[in-house]
Amino acid sequence: MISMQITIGVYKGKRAVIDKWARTSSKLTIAGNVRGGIDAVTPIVTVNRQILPFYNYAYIDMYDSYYYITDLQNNTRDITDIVLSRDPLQTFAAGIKSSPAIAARASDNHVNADYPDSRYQALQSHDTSVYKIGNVGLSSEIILGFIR
Amino acid sequence: MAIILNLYGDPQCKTPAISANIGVAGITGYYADQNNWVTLSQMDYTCYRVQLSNVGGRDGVILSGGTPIFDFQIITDREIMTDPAHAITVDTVSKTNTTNIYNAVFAGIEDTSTQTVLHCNTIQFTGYESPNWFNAGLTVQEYTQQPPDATGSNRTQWTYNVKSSGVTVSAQLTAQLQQCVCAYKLNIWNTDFYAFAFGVSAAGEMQSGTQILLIPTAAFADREIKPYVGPVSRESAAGAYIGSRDKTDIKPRDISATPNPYGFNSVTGLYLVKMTQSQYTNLIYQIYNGVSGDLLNQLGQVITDLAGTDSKRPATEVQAIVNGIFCCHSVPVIGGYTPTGTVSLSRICGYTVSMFDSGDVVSTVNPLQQSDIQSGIIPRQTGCYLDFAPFTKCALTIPYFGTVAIDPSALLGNALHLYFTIDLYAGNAICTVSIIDTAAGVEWIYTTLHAKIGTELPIIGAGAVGDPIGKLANGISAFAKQGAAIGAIETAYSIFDGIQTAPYSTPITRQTAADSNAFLSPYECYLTVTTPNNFNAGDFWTLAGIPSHMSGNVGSFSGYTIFEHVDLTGVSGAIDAELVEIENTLRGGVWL
Repeated sequence: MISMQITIGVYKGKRAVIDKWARTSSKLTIAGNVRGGIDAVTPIVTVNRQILPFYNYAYIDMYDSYYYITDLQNNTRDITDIVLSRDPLQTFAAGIKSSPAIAARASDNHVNADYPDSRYQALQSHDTSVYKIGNVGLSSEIILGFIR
Repeated sequence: MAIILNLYGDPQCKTPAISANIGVAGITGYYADQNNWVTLSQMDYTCYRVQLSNVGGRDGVILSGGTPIFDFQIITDREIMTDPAHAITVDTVSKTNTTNIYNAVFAGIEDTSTQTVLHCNTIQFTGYESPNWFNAGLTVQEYTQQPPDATGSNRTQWTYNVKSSGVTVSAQLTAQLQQCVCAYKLNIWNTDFYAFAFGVSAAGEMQSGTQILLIPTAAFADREIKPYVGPVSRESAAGAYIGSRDKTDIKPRDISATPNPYGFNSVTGLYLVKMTQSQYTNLIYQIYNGVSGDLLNQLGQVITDLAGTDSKRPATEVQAIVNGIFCCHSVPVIGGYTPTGTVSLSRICGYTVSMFDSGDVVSTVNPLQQSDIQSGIIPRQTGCYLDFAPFTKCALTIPYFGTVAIDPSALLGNALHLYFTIDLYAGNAICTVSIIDTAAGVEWIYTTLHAKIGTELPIIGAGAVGDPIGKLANGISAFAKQGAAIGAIETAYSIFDGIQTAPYSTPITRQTAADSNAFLSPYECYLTVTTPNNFNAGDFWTLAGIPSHMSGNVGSFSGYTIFEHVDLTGVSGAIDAELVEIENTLRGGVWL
């Protein structure tokens, strides 16, 4: 058994968000013990209290990693086993953000709207704009050509 | 048999005159029409009589003004100058007496890469008995050339014997000049190849339809004269003996192009004038009525003329005047159109015709008119790929030229510049469409269009020459028909006017017909840009993103982003499965 600190919280959002911890609320830091050996990816942490089931996200300082709470076992008043699975997006956010990449689609200024976009649907009806350029002829003249 | 050589220019005198008066169907130079060459070969000591006659409706030949010249050429594909032993020379003789005046001048040899032309100004017409009639007392020159001996030598010199002939007319105006006759005698070697060209020129007036007849003498009546129509070959192998050549292989050669009768900016004797509609009406009236006067008197004059001895004269004069008018059309005014000067017209085509009221002046115009119009910047419509083909279509409608499609990728965001160049001689116009790229600071040509903007106004009615009364009626009725057509044009324009305002959301300013010569075309130039309706899906951009294809660190992006390529080698501490999960998540779309 390895003693450690675990901070649990409530995260309401998409899994495809990198920075989840900043969006996590109701954070609660409690002491616990890691069962079995060192496992930073899917650890089980035992705490001496009941954990309410709406807690779904956690941080373990010993591993400096962020986790999804996947299960709460033996959840009694005196002891609960918190089953965790590491969230690689938040855990390695710094390394991910510094990784070079090419975006296929974006929603900030990294875009060029002149690329064809098969996802964007336009209506079959059309609008017509008319621009007048100027008068080419206003009246007529009679021209006579002759050999003098 | 006779070979008829028509003079350069057709009997209708449509060739622009070199001299001041219309009706001259002659040349001051030489034939440029190879179809009128006659190639004589396989003959010896040929003698021909060259005769002028006329088929233009009169008897005889009329030449006047200056010193008419009867030109004679020998055109050969042989080199003449290189070997003095075989050079051709012409002796110059000048001799005058009281009845026969002649002059023979050897004008020189013109030697080009394809032909050699021996120019001889052989005969000068002299003597006038009236300003418009004269007697062609022609001299006859006879050229002979020694036949070759067995070795091909002795062909060194042309000699000629001068003979005189001709017909004199003792009475003025009552007797017609019958014929002008001269004769040439030429010796042609059996295997030589010569082409002859004959021309008549007059600085003044020449009877239209004058012809030259080349008539072989009786001694050669049984010989076949083979008129040659086609290109003439020239072969000059080094060291070959000039004259005795086998002419079985004829190769085409380039014929000198007929010089342009007039340059666009250096037209002599041609005038363009701008007329009002009333002046045009008056012109029609005057042409078919002669000197201005009331219609009844003019008809009486016509009838008197018809009863006279020369019943064809009025009609011929009318025809000559009409033929002198080479264009009469109505053109739309383009911006910048200004006359260049004024001229009072009292004489046209050598005939006194008072076309306008006393004191009238009309404006001469430059035959070449140019102007341009420019649009403002045509903006992007949607700001995305829908602004381009095939989604967006741009059509530029230019009056008289029609509608041309413009590629939106070239136009949107730029401006249009239209240049118009108009040829008032023929009523043709060219429009150059260029695009002004203000961002790049360049203007480039997109396309050019051509249109016929001149509407021909009838001068000649359906009546034939020799029917002045009929021509008068037809001329007026032809003009009246144009008036009826004008009504149809206005009606059609009103239809177009209605169509123009129907489908477009932006009204177009309509231009009504300025006068009765309005054309079936709007006067305004306009551009239509048709784009698909850009339905706004609200948060489409933030929820689905739009195409990027831009690079950077993942952290430099914000909002919803789908990555197509990412390098995660800098991510340390993650197991392989986690790296795969990270990459798959980035490719599937993440919020940053």
